[in-house]
Amino acid sequence: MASRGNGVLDWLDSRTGYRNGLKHLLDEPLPSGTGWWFTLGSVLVGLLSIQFLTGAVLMMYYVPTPAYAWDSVHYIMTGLAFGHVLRDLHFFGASFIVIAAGLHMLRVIFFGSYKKPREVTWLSGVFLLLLILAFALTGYLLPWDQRAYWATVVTTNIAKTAPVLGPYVSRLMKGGPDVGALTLSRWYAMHVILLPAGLVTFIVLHLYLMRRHGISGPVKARPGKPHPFYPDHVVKDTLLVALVFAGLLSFAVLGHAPLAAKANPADASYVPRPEWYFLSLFQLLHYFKGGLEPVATIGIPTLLVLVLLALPWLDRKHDRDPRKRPAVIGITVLILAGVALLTTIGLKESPPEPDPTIWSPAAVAGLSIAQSAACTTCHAPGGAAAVLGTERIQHDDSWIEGHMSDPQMIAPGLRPRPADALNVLQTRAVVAYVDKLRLDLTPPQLSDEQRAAEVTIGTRCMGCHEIQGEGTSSNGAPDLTHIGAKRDAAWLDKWITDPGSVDENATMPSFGGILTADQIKAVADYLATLK
Amino acid sequence: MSEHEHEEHQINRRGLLRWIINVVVGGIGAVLAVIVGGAVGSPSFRKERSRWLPAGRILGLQPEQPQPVTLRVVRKEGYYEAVDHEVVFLIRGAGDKVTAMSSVCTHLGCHVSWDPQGRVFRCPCHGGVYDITGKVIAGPPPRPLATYSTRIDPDNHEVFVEL
Repeated sequence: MASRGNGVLDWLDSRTGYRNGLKHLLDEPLPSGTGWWFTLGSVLVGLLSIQFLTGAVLMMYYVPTPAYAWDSVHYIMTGLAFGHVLRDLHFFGASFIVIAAGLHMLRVIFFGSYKKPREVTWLSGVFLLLLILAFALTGYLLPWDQRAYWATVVTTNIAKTAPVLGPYVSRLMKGGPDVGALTLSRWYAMHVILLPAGLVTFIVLHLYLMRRHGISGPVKARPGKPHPFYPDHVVKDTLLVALVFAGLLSFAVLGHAPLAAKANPADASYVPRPEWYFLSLFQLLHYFKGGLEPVATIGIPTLLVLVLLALPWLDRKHDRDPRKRPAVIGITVLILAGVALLTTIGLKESPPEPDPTIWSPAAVAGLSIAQSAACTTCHAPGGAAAVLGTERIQHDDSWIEGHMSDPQMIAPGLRPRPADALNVLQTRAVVAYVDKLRLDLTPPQLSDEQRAAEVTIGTRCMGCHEIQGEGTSSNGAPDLTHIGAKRDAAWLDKWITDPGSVDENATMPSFGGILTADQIKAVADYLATLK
Repeated sequence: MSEHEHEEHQINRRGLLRWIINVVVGGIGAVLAVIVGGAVGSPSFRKERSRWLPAGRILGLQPEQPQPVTLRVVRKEGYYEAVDHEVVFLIRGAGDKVTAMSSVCTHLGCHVSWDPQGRVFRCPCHGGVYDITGKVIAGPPPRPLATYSTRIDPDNHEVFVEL
């Protein structure tokens, strides 16, 4: 390829010597029999390049502040051409990288490629894996939804369990006593500057060392001439990268990177769970309780990393054949099986993720309150405040709750005081409705009975009961999510009207005098459909 | 196969492999370019939607007396909403037709005000003068004052201005 070229390239070569450099990079002789297993590193380079590219575009829109982080991610997903594909590429790309890095490392372990003289290449690889996991951890917080927020609360609490330094490390991670604005901006700085800088440094080191010692090649040297890296091996790299890219693109186009409701530090009802590749560690916490907790949170992960780092010195014999290294292979397989088992249990025990796009009874109740005079007195065309749903809701959930429950806060001497402030359940219902507004969801088409039932449930029943992850469940009242599987409409009607007539020990108050017979019938019919 | 033929075969094979690499890498690059191009370029070339903003009741307007009203204009800037306050003059003409006229001088963008004695709009910066229809009658402005579409809600006589 050096022979061809035009005047400009010849001039450039005479000034830079790039052709020799390129030739040196591409003509590396590979041992005979270097096959498909040796393409995983290139797949990682390809996937990481996609993360860099998509990450840079995401940064054009993302802002790392609690006031706007969630909105900016929502805008990326809904307001940009291919925005949802862009975010999904970055989101699923992270999982692809963890898998590819794991396979790459397993290939090195099974082929014994970490052995002398490649110990430092192996060490740089272990650091790269840790950097990748740090990327995953810091990136998880950035969308600032309930998932991100509560998972990070757990992560920083785990750091707290480390002996002696734990509490200080945890505070350092959070930038204060709680997960908040300072946590978000420092994790962002890590994710977009410090970790990429570290990653690039270690990739360059890793590749330099790979070239210095040459590719380890097949376990047993095979007869035959070495073949050049380009194009013989690069074509394999390229084809596998293309296959993986096609897979990632399918996930990005067909899948949906989740965006839960905007983070609400006051709503601890959200059950956090980590991304699948941290699930096995998370699941370990179930088996080490009380004083033993640091064993799972700090002890086992630290031990694993130390064993990985020390591997070339723990297994020093020259032979690379996996059949002659039963201890290393056996322990690797055992750890893999353990991780797989814990991940499977973790997936099974994970509570179902609430779907933020479903209109819950509380949201329907909130909508009916928002359309009533309580809100439309001011939130009207030409009124004192913007019509709900036409402008971005700047305030967080706790401000909105305060805005509705405290008339002084609504109208500090400026606007007419509303006759009645809303009660706690009504304000929560409006907050649930506002969460749907933030997602630009259109209200569902409901029959009058269904609407009446959902409004009553949202503003009455959910004071004591939980339905589909919303409401209260702390006072012994049963969860009504699947009540229809146990009770029929007639029974429910009778029970709601007067629980004492069904069971003389009933603790639920009688609603016969509070709700009309029509309302009770609508509620009973609705609940009976919740199977 | 002679030595020469073998060499030729090798060269052809290499050429094919290079071609495959270039096509596949080009394909991946093209897909990424479309996605990135769309995401980077789409807000730059989006048409801004116009809005009908309520500007008060027609009954509050004196005929042929320009009345300045301040409109709250919410401009969507991606995830952010910028709020501008724009002053327009509402002029109630014959047959309850309402004209909405921009208060921004077409010379250098200062705000004009209505002079009820002279019955003209005057710009304080460089002496631009406009008549009640917005036509330039003195000074440097190159164009008449801009006007906006209006419509009147038949039920409550609310005037809406399209911005």
